Amino acid sequence: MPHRQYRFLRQDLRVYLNPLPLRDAVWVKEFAAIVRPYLEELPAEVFERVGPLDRVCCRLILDDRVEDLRIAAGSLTGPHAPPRAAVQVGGRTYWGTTVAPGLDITALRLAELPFSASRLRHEVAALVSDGERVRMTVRTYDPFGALPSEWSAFLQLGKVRIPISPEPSGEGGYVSTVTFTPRGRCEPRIGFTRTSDGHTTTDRIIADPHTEPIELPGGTVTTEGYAAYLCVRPAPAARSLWRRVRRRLIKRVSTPANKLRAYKVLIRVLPRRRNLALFESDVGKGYNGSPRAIYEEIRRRGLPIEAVWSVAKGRASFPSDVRLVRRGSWRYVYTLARAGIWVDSHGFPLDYPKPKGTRYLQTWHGQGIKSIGFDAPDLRGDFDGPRAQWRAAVARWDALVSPSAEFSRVFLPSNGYAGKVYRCGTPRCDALVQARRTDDVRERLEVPPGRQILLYAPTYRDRAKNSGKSIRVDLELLAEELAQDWVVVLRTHPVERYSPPEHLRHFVRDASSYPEINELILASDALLTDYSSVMCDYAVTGKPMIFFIDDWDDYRLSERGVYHDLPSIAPGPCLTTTEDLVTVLRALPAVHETYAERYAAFRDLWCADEHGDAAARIVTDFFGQAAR
Amino acid sequence: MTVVFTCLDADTLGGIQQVTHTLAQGLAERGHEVHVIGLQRAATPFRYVDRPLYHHHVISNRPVTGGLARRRADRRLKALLGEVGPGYAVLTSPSVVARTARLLPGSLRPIGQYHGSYDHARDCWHLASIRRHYPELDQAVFLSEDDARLFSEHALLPNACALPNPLAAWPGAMSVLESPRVLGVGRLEGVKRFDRLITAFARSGAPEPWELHLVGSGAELPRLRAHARREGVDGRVVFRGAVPAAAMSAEYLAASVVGLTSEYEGLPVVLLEAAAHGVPAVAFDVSGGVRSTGAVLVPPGDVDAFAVELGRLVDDEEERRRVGADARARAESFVLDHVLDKWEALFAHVER
Repeated sequence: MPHRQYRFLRQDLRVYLNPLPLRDAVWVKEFAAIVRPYLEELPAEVFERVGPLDRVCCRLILDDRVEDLRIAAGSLTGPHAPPRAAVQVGGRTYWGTTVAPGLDITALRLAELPFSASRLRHEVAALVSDGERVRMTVRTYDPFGALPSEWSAFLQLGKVRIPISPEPSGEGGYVSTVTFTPRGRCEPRIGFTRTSDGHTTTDRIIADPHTEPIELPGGTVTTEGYAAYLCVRPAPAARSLWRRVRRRLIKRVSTPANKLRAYKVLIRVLPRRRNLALFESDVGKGYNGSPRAIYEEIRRRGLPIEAVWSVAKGRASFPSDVRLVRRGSWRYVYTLARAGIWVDSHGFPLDYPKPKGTRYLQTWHGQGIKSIGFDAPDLRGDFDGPRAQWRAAVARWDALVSPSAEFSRVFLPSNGYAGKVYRCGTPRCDALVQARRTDDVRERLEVPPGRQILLYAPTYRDRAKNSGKSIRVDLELLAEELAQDWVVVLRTHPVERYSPPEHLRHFVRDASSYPEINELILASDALLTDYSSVMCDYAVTGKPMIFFIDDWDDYRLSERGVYHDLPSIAPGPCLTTTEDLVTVLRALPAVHETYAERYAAFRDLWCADEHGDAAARIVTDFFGQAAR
Repeated sequence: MTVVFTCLDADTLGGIQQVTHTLAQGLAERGHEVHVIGLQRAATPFRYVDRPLYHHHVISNRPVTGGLARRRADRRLKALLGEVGPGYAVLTSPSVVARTARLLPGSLRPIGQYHGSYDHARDCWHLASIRRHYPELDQAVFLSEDDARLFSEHALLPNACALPNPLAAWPGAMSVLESPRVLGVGRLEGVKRFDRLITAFARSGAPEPWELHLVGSGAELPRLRAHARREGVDGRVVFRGAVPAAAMSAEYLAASVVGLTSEYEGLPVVLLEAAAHGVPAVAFDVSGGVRSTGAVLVPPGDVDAFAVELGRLVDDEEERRRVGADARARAESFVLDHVLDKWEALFAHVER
């Protein structure tokens, strides 16, 4: 019986609550009258099991607050807009202007969000066309008091920002009027920037779902969704014949196969430029890692080497004076053929042969316990094709950076590499050895003073890339227990995709796209990982490490395979439950103390060569000849 | 009735090819018109059947690269398929299905085979290809009921069924299980993971006269030799190189235990042949096919558990006889005649 009642609240009722903002007041009143008798029968514990906003809707049905019910139901879907008002009493947060047990929304943690994630409610009050422009009045509500005393505001349309000046209105909140020309495809947002530190928060603009669309030459301003939000949709423009033909032609010619063909011709006819170096880190994902350390060392010395960086997407992390080339473009193909020096951390396109005369410095991107090369799952399958391709790709390397003797012992045979090896530490780790910070991580990620930073960096699972399944710690439990003292900075692996849910954002900061992990390592107080190679870099700092390995047997035996028995070499506790993790984090200094001996052994194994001068020594040797 | 088997490469040494030629000969002996088509010529051809009763064709002399060569090859294949009478086309792998299914004339009913396990398909491009191309075929044939179920769930196949690989011959004699020899059979390639078998043998505590014999050749040989040296059993691991098919029976008769430590296996012929000779086997539990052979099963990748099971069989002759006899009883359902009956039933089912 309770299960059926719970299902009624979770499923059946939601079918009616979701589209409630579309209904008129009479319909909603009748609906509430029909549902109310059944809700009155339900015991309190059934309400405890559904989400806080569902509970608020039930309370409003029971209290016959029809207009409030429509507003609350509008927050169930779409942009999940915050309420117009909220009350905070004794550490708890309540929906609306009154305090009642059924209106408790503390669990959503909306009142504790950092400023850049904080929630404001923007409602369209009026929307009229004014020639080819649109004039809009927006009411802004700040239910959780997120806005500081000094701020500036803007309307964001795609990449365009139009400054606005919201005026305080009589009934709390702000009113702003803005005139804009709709263009392209976007969902307009209103943003507030805090003057003191430049952090910005934006939110979509919600509107009455019955708003008449405004059609203009540049595009249509309309609403979408049950809990309707404003959006601009472009007018379908007839593409000219010439553009269509050109597009088709480019698509036909610019195939990867054609580029490879052209490349093979280019490397035969073009001479190499000895001083042109092509840099790439993490398959073009950013300006980081060992290639960056080497590049900066070259710049610092002022060597006469012209460097070009390959970028896949996300150019924001690159300094403005760096020459960029898009990975996979025609210009990239040309640069590959022309450059006399290749530097990268993963592998330039595997089927591109290295031209005669080019020198290739492979920095690699991590060492550790995970199986690698021919032992890794992607090359273990029953085909020879990928293995032959990787063998040919490895044969291109002229020099390899080996962080440690252990790395050489494992990595060289499992990749079949027998060429030159630099054994002088990792360029990437120089910054860690020297504790060189360039960025205020605490400020950038809005970590409140007094809280410690736990860097959580799990590696990916080969059978579940881009699934978010590598985050195996129960973050909700962790937040409940430790949110007073800690902030989790979550750094997922580049092939993983995960975004923390809103009710955890007060505790978890998403740093997956943070440009440089070294900054996070230096700013953090402890590391939580599973099998990631980050453990070997982190050991340089001497700070505590914790290992959450609840799927160790699976990972070790069937999924990935490992070279070392982590529980017996780990420089910190190996845990399998979040409860244990909470206990360990509460007594971290003492726990860390007991692992001192193993920590030292671990550093000896992986970090004995890290002296902070790896980049300098490698540049002297590898780039010395090119510079002369 | 005509049956056309199409392989990417019909004459290389390998499991798919052995099964295909065995089935082709068997069906031809039952009076069907059988064709075996190789889309490309093998680099080192292997002769499976001495006096084939079926027709044999090769489409291209080398692997086709580029659009023009592909189109020419497709034209030749289409012409050939148009000439053979109405019947069934058995396409033996995902790449063959992707390339050939659209070239078949209406008179040939397409049947897609997959010779790997579900795990293997999931970990490479095969699963996506099967999901894309197999639902349109008249039948999709997998190696075991477990695999067929997993594929119908995860590749959304309405037409999946299970049909095991056949045993080419049924031996009259059984191994006496008294010689101190553990046998491993397979190409010496990464996927077979003989390094694990060597480690397990070293850790099993098998006493001195016992040896591990590895039959097969491949690129991993130097690495495996070095591995055996590291494990301290280099004197007791014997690399036998490739052995002709006719001599394999003697190998099984001279062995007391067979070990299989591959990363992936579909329905390994090694386990079937070992079972037919009454030789007990230890294997990682990597597929429904392996489970159906009656081998002693060990959790995938757990080398220590493998060593324990291997040691148990090495120590206990009674247990070897029991497991071996049990496996031989199970292997009877893989006898060629039974499997051919199942194929004919499948053809009849497709016809209906």
